[in-house]
Amino acid sequence: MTTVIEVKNLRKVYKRTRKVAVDDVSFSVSEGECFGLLGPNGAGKTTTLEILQGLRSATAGEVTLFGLNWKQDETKLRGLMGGVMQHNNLYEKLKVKECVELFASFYPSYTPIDTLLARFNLSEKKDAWLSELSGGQKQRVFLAMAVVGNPKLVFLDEPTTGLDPTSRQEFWHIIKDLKAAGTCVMLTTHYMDEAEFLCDNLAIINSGQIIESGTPSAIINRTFKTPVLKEPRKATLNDVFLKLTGSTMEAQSYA
Amino acid sequence: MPELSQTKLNQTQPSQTKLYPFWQLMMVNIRPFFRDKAVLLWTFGLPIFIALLLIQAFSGGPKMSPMNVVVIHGEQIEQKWLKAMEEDPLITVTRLSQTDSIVLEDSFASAQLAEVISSPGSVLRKLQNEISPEVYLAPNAMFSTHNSDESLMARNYLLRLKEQANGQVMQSNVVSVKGYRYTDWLIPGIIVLQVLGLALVSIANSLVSDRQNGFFKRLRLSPFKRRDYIIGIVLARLFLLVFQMAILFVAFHFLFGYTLQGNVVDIILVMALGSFCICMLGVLVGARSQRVEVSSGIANLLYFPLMFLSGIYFDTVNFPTVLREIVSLLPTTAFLDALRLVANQGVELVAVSRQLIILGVTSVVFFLIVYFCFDWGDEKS
Repeated sequence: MTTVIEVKNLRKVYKRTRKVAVDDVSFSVSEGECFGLLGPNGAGKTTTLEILQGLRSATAGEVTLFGLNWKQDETKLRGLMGGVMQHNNLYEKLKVKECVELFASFYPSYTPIDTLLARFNLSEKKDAWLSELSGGQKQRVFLAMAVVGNPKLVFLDEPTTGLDPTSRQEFWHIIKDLKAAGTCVMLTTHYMDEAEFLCDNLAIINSGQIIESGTPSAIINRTFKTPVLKEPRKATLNDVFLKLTGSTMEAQSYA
Repeated sequence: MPELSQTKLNQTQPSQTKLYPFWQLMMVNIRPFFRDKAVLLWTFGLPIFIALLLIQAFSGGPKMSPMNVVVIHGEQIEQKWLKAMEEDPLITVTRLSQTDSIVLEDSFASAQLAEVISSPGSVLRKLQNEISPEVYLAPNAMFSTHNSDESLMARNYLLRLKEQANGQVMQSNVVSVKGYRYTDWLIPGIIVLQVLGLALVSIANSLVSDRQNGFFKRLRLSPFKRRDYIIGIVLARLFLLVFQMAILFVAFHFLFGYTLQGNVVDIILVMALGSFCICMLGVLVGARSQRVEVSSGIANLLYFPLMFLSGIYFDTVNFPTVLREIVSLLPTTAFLDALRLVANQGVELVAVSRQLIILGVTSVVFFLIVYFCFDWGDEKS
């Protein structure tokens, strides 16, 4: 598989505070793979992500995306990526379709807006203002804006924070679909179930350093030699929530 | 689990419809404006309210009484001045023969008008000397008292009418010829004031808000071009400003009888260039500010001096010469002077070329600074 992201010995020290935010981080991500960067607040996830996105420069180390680097190939790289930020805001009185059209216009080619909105279950809401949408619908709009230009690499920075379980699961299925289409996804999240469901590989970062990496099952096996779950349960509370409220919420959302 | 649409993203053909980023960015900035009733109300209601207030406040001074101006046949008088007097509803122009004028003077001399003017000869001759030997002011209601203020007012009125007829900038608030009244003088000022508000303050705050909301960072995750963003946001404001000014001109026409004296295309060009320049100043203010408090502070720091020095409320002719020269280089002064001359006095663009050059050069300088210094939310900006 083609390597999309290659990070070698990445280090970032903030000049003003002299804080080492990222320290000797290395990993690689392949085409169609979802790579998760997990860690507590302030661990260095967002700094790493912003260096990958070309928003920050590295103090040391090497970052290549699609074999290109930010210094020489910025314009080309920006055409290959899209993203959903941790905090997404756009003018509240814009319609869904207008938001997606805006980002479509930046790319040389784009998915037809109506098709994309249908895929994201937003057809009924295409003429609604952003201010009229629920949190989950808004996040789907932001994801639609991120992928409308058919980017090869999508950054998702805590994309489902604050969403209810139903909206999160909808979001996850869209990400799965993106992966199936060959898109590489770089994800940061605080939800371990999300990481487990979506990520092919992940790295756990703490105090700027990767302390564990690999597939979710490999990491679990390495960390716990004996099972920590005391007894098998029929379902999780999340499953209960989805069963009891999922269909109702869905009916409201897409009415 | 809800059923999502089964259309796979990788099965979809790209759209064939071409979208233009600067156009989309422009529309993104225009559409919310018309969807927000509060913004609409403040944008159009406030300037009309300010105009009503100012006109009420500044035109409430001593009223000019009707006067007669006697023109002696055969003597020279500037035709523009005479035409302006004839069009002025307060002035009745009477053309007299030489013989009639002697009779008139005799009437002063014989004190037939003594009841009207206590020392008629002196008033008449004083006016003759100071205004023009060809224009005589016949005693009428204006001179029916001994009040020297009224005489002074009458003299100033005619002198200003003469200046204005010769294309000089308005100074007075008492003239009632259309295009020369205080109202006419003030309205372009109100328009420029609105441009300052919408372009300078609002555009700067809007940019900072976009920066704070992470919109620029989000844009940086796409192949957008900086040039498109700046052009888009400035074009959006230009459209809004020209639209707003058109509405205001219509409102001022119905409210105050304001009429454009110049060529509409010339007026639009002056408004577009002036607005563009002030928009670029607004973008410059918001180019690097991280917080609305900072951009508002800088915008206010510019807004108030520009408002008071540019001649929006009162004329700059009373400033010291050096200050007047400096002030004339300000984009708002250039914009306002050009707009007053073109819209009120109908002069051609050539006559305001100095002002247009100032606006053009300033705009280019602002654009270049913005292009290279704008903070796009990344570490390299």
